[in-house]
Amino acid sequence: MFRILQNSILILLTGLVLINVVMAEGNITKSKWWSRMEQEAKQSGYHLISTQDAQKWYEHHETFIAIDVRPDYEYEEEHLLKALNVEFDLGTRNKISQKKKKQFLKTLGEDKSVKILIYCRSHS
Amino acid sequence: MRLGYKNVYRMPTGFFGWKKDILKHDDLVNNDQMLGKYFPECQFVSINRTQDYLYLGIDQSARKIRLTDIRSQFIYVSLFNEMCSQCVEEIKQYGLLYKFFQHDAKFKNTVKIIGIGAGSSHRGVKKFIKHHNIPYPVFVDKNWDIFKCLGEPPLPVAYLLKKESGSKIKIVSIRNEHIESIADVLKEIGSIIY
Repeated sequence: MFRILQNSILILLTGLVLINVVMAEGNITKSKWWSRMEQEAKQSGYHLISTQDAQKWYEHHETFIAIDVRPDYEYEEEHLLKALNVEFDLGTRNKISQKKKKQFLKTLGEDKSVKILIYCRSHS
Repeated sequence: MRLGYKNVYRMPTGFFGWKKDILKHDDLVNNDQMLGKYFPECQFVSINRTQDYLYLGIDQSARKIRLTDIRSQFIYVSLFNEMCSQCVEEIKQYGLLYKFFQHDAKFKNTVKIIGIGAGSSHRGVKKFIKHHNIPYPVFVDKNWDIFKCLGEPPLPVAYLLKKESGSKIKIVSIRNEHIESIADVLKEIGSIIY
């Protein structure tokens, strides 16, 4: 009887350890991609923010400007609360037109210290 | 491009990530609605003609390449844009995949890899191939036609296509998650092909 109980506890503990390993592996897997994104952010001079941290900005009523760079029809369907739309195409990344530059500056205003949250459709 | 703003935060998982994580919507990236459908019919002009034709098994007299002409049952298509940084990351991974396929007797004649530059120019793709030393054929979807037929998916995205009878090519797998390990991609492809 005691042996059966001992074996059951062992099996349970092994299971718990395995679950933790799998969960940790999942987290490690997620952070590999995030690390690459962080590297790019560092090189390009901006910060990364997770969806959860962005949610906290809304919950704590922080002052920031949200910019949605998706096409206008996607923005119009739905977007983050109070987000403004400045449509970027992939070609804008390396070379921005003067017209787009003016639109961006007009949307963000003159205060260069303002906090800006920028997002696209997904990870592209 | 910061225009002097110092406190710029990018949410890399984007609006889809927001819907999934915060709004708990899972029915999002409708990219998967293309699964099981036929890949749009398309013809391409080769950039590295001799090399591309040889790899894909295309007759040298053919002026353009159609996917149906490629001599393999499966085709792995990487859809990208050269301005998309995540695409660039993945291109490097697909270079490794290409090398693996070429050295593996099982995969070598069963699956071919190609890239399609969505919204890219011929010149842009040529420079891109040279700059990143891409070993597999890359073609141009200059006017976003293929991209639009595929439902304007978030880039990068990769499709595993299977040739069926009657010049139809079916989408049997779609990869729209970032690649953590090329071994995962190999496993995925292997499980479908074999």
